[in-house]
Amino acid sequence: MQGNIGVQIILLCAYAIAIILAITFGSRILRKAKEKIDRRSE
Amino acid sequence: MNLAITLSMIAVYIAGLIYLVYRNPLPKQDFEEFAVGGRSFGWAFITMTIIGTWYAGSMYVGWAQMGVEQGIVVTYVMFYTLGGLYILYAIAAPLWKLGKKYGIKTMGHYFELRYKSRSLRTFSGFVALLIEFPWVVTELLAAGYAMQAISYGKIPFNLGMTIIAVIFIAYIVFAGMRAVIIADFYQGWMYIIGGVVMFLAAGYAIFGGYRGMFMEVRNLNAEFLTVPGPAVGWGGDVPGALFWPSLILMGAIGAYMWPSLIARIFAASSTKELKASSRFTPLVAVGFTLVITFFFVGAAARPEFKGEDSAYAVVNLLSTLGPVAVAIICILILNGSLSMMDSMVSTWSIVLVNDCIAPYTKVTSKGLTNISRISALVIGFGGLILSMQELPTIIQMVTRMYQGIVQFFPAVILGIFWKRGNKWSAWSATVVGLVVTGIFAFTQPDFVPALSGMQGGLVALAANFLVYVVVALVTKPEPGVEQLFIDAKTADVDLGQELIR
Repeated sequence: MQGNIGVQIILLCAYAIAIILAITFGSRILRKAKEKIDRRSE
Repeated sequence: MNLAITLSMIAVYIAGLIYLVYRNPLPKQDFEEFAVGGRSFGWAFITMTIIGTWYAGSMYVGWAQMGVEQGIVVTYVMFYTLGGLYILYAIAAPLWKLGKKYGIKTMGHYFELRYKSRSLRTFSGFVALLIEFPWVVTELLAAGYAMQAISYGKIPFNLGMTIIAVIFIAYIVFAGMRAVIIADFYQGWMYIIGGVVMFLAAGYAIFGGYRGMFMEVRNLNAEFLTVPGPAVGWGGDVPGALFWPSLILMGAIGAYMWPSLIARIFAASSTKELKASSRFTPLVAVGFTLVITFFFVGAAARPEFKGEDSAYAVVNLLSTLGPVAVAIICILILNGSLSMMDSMVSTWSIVLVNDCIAPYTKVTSKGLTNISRISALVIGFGGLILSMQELPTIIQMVTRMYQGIVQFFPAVILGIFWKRGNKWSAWSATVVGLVVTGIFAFTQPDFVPALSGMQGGLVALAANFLVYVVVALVTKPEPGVEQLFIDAKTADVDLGQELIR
């Protein structure tokens, strides 16, 4: 891998954290909302 | 090796986006769900969708070029972002309340309710689409460039644009505004974490910190760190004292007149959530804007990266850090392009159906949803085909008409806060504003030298306000306006559905 290795490791971590947080929080919020709507409609 | 790294990173990014969006289909196939996500989103989603729509992919090229060529002037973006958010804060609550009570989904829809003019609703829908449309072409071009850069030239420009267009059009057709807001939420995280870390780390790695970066810029040319005004310009091209303030004012006033941004107000689940978003969004937006625009100015210190076209100077500079940096900057460009294009194309398909078809026909809610889907396909792929052509002059000229969007501001803001306004004042003021803007756009450069660098759109806006007030004072207010003003203050309701916070 060419370039500045230290900076690239930091960037890779930031990239991974951004995607993990987006999917984790997004899924959790949307799932909870769906569960409550489903419970209400039952 | 480098290609494998960059392609893996873009593949994971796109896979994550597709996973989050397609796990959340529309709860039911009606137009309310498709157009405003069932008015069910909380502050976190609204914040992210505003940020996602606000930051375009082309800014890493266009604004970067402005920073590299003109220096600190590019920080106008931060000031107008703040100004725009303040205006959002002022108009969001009354518009949301009216939207909830009367089923409003677009700015044109509000005009019909407030001014009792169906033709104004349709006119504003068409004009807003016409003014905003060139943005999609610009964003597709940025996406094509990013796909080409991330693949080290292996993905041809047009193929790159097509891949991105297929991705966002597919999820708009899948779940409309709901999919767009979920996608924006995903993309917002990449801005906040990926973007901020990227530019801060690059600042330290390349310049030894932002302080060192500014020192280098100052040593190269102190003019880059001076706001242009009556005595300072760029190489003798002095714009005038009012150039910078008018850039900020135009940006702030026009910000939430864009159909794609004003539509965000109606997707919120309550005024409380909108206000919570209004408190959080400025912090995120200002932090992010400062970090990136300062870096754009700093890139001026390395003129060797300008190459043939200074628009790519920042991407070229960041690419020296290695393939991960190449992937991140290209993903940030795609992030911006996707979030802006999906918002615009979905909103236009909704505006087209809601303001130009629904008022004149009797179509079921499901029918409107399907027509919106077809419209999104036609508009999205139409934009793609146009992006692949040699752009005709008319498109370049229409691009300059962006100042026209500001001309809806008096009809919106005075309509909300002044009971005297009526359809005659709204019609006449908007038309006068658009005509004067058009005259300036086609006869003057971006700023008017004879007016100390002021933008023509501001002159048009002054005429617009004047005409609105004069016509409103000499004609009668609309019947029923009193009730609307009461509703705009009091109509806060329990949605009867859960908030998507």
